[in-house]
Amino acid sequence: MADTFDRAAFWPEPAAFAQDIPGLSVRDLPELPQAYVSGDLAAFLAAGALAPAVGLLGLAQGDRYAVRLARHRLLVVGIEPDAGWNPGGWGVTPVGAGLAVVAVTGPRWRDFFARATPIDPDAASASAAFLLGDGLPAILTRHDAPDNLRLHVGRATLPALHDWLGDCLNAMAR
Amino acid sequence: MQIFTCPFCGPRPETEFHFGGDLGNARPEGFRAVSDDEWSRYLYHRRNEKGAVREVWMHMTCGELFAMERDSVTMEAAPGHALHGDAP
Amino acid sequence: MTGFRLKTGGEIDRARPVTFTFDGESVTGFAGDTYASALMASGHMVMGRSFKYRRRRGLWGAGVEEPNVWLDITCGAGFAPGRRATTEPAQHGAVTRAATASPSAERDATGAFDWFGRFIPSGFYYKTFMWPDWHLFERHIRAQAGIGTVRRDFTDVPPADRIHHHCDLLVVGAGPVGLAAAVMAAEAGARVMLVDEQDRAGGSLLAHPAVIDGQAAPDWLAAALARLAAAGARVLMRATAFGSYDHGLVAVNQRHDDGRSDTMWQVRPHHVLLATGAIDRPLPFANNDLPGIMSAEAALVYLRRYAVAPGRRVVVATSNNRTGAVAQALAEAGVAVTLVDARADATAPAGIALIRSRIIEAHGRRGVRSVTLADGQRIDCDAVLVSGGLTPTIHLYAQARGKPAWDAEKAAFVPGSTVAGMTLAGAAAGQFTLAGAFAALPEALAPLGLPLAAAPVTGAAPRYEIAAMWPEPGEKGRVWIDLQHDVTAKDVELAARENFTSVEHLKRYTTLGMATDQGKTSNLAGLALMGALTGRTVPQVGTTTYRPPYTPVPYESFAAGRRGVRFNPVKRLALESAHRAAGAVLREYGGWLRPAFYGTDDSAILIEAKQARESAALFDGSTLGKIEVMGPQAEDFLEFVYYNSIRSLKPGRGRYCFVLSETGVVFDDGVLLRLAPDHFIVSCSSSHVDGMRGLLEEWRQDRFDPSRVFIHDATQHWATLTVSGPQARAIIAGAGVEADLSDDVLPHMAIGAGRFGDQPLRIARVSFTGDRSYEISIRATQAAPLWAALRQAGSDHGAVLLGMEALTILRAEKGYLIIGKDTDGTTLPQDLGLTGPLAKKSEEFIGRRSLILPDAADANRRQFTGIEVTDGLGPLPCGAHGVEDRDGRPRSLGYVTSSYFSPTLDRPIALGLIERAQARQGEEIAFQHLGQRRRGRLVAPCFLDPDGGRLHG
Repeated sequence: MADTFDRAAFWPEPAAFAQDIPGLSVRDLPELPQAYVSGDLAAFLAAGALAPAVGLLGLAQGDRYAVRLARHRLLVVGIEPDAGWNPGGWGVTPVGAGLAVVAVTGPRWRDFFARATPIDPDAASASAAFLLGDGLPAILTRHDAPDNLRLHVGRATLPALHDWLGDCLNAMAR
Repeated sequence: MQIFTCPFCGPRPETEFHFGGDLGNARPEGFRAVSDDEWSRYLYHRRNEKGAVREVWMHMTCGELFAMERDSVTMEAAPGHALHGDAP
Repeated sequence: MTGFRLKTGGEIDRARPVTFTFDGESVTGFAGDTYASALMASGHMVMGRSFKYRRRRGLWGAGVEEPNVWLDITCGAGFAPGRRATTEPAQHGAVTRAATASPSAERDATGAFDWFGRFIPSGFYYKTFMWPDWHLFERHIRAQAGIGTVRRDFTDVPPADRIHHHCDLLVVGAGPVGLAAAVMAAEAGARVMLVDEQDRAGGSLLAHPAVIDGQAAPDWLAAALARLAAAGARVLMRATAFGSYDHGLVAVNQRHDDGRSDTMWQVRPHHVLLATGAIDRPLPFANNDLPGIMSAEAALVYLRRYAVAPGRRVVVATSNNRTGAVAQALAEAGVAVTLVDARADATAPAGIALIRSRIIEAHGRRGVRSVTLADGQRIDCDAVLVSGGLTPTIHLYAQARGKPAWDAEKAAFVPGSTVAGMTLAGAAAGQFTLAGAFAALPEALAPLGLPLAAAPVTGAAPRYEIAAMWPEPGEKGRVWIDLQHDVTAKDVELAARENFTSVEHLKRYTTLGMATDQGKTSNLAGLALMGALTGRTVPQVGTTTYRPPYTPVPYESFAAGRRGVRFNPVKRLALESAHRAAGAVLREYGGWLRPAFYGTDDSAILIEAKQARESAALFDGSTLGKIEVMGPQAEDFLEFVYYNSIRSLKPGRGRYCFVLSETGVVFDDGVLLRLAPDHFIVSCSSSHVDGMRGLLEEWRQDRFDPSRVFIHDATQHWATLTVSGPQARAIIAGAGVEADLSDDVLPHMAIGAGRFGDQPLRIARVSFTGDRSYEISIRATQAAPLWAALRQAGSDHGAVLLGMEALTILRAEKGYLIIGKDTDGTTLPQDLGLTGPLAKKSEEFIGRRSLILPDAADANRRQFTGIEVTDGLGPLPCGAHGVEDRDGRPRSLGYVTSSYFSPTLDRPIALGLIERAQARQGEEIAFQHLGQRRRGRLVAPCFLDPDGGRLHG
């Protein structure tokens, strides 16, 4: 049989990820409604009665909250407002299917973070967006409790995140 | 792995950033009123100074385009400053 | 036989013997031995061969400074090539061989090279082995030149761990000074990390007894470690701080002894304290490389830590006042010692025979047997211990651009200029007494700004006194400078004669200091000799640039597991499992894993392409970029971004547009869709999404008001399922999609809404195949049922699943170009025949001025064209060059950019970029590829349905 240069065997078929080690549990979360919002962020938050948008490792609470991504942009989680330009002065793009969310939970989250990025976990950063591991764009906040982390990555890159997470947890478990 | 300081995000690893050319390389406007020489210099000439340099960088994770002063010999990098003022 | 094990003492566990083999011979030591100490204890003298001359070599040192003895170690399933015997713990059952010898250290087959020594000085390979062809000799020379063997079957290296660490103080070196500093800082509240390359803390205390704060060294050591633990300090053993990098990064490679790969720590401390000690130097004399000649400081380590004596009749030769203690320790162990001290005012400890002289030659063949002194005496011996003086280990300081200063009194380079965030202490700072080192600690730690407790106190010791002994020009005999690279004083003299006198040229011409020991025991002697040869002082010659790593670091530590699927991850389609189930062959396109075709062999491709036009095709176009641009200034912004004019684009419509870069070169193409006056979707090439987003963000902030135009990348939120072909509308309706697909509601190049079940759809009538085509976008996580419904309905209408390979044929039949394939880094829009906007668009756009530069008007530019094959020999090779023969030589006219067999047209088609193609339509030209000539006619780049009727079919 001639070589068809089929890469289907090299790239394993994606599967759901769940792995526990002492001190840390990591698993895929079910799809969350999310949307990018740009423009007059203060007006958007006020209109939705949302708390101020949190930054990197910031503590977000509840089912509806905002995550700051850039000077003029945030990610709202828990709702997907209508797409397009809102006369209130902000634009919305739903992205709930585009961003997969992974829960990283436990007291050893610092050891996970120390492998994920050179960023100092004790230094506040206004944007929750960063590059994780081998260079994957990601968003990281806390949710409801200091040891509950939420990691958002592009859904098409979720299997790559899983591969990195597996190696990270295996290294931490030794 | 150097650490650059985005005006919005603070200190971040250099891999999150992308170089954007010399600061102050203003785009010559006027279409035909701009000489071939002036336009070509805008496209291709770089100051390439030894020592203090002033550059444009983009922090790719938040998208912020900003100005940063560095030293091309010692590799020191000053915190970047926003192009449009530091309004949050 | 020289070295032997003492009956008592050492850190070894005599209750746990360890047996391994060396060059096939069984050796027994104890747990706690290194391979070096075990070999020395069992009387081995010859443990390796030198790099160039293949001379017999034995141990020189006790640590990372070891230049001679390297082992390939196989232990269980593990294999470690080229490791220093002095830093590897002896493992029971290990099989080791001398890495620098073949077949063994004792019986090296190339020992004869030494006889030709005078013909192979430094740089001999620049002057010899050139005729008839260097490559004839290269293979053999390379085979001789390596250290260690690569085992091609050994590929199972576990991923290394990489950890980023932030702290207030990093202390490098857990000797007494480093420990004291770490304790002082940690107990004052600093977050401290302490690292040491050895397997246990203690540094010089392990070989030099001391009383610190009234405690014997072992007790003080244990107490210090306990205090560090209590204060929460992080202590890493077998961790080498190997490099100081920009912005305060210090990299530490930590070894483990349980089969794991190493851990790479990337440490970012606010302050670094280097307590890295100092390394003893050799002495220059003829044949100073013989087995049995070793560092006096190292011999003391073997004596105290491993209870091994180097011989029974030992000459201890020195230039300084530290070595008397070594002589005394040996005498106490029952060894007959003669101390040879070059200093005129030298004294010896009581009971030690002293000769005030220096060695000028060592004698022996398989190992040292005697030495001749300057006063003519000849002394028989079975080992010679030498001390040329201490060289502070300032590498990390110098890597951080610290400028060393020459201390003539100590004959050493010590730290000179200040380096922000870094201080040195102890021997590394040139402070060679422990009392002095402790006293200097508060100042070294002052930058921390913390209230520190007092530094420890220990008894005073005599000031370091040395009479520096550098190699002299014109000395008789062969005097070794760099043991690992086999560089002698004569090589330095040769370099001087050939005018390679700068220290950097000296290094590269002779390879002095370039081996894996990086000149730890050789650099200073070499540059001192060069100074003497050229009338310069040592500081005038200076040192070469210090670069990481301090000691070798495994590649895997840098890779940290980034290989295999982690090396270059691809993006995955939401429908990947459906494609796999349908039998897709998957390949990587533009960073995504996509179906190339469906089936077991590539004959499927032509079947898919044919059937797509006859009935219909379904394909997964989800990778297409969907960048949303919105806001009050969105239209102004996009009018500037695009080559084409877009203001007239109405909501609900799309336009095929180009984006240029400022050089005028076509950057990307795609359909711009307008959903509302202030809401657009930029669809861009799948592989260009990040590039387009970067371009849009740059102009948004640099030219427009960033508070009035915004950019969101929605690419991965939508799955885009495309239905193309004459049966497309029927299939979409048959699948249960609710949408008005009538041509007046949704004409070609329009976008509308629809529903599938409870899911809203965006339906764009856009075609990449040239046939009637609908791109249906649905929430990616809800795509599977729609895909299944389309397939079901499709099967009723003869639809085929279309992979990327067939799709590229269909678009080529229509002349639809692919940026980066049918265009290159010089292609301007006019080269593609697109001159309208340049002529008619009045507003400024990216790249506009570049389109009228002189080069842009060059009549001989390569232009986009179709190519018809006229020689009947099948498709042209992609990349074949159009050629014309000028003066008997072929000249390239450009090249074929796309080439396929078209199943619909039943003939080959091709596209290309050919010089003056627009003016030469109809002309037949030659093509050349790998020596073969072909023929083709330049034609319009559209082979099928030029009027576009099939778009409405």
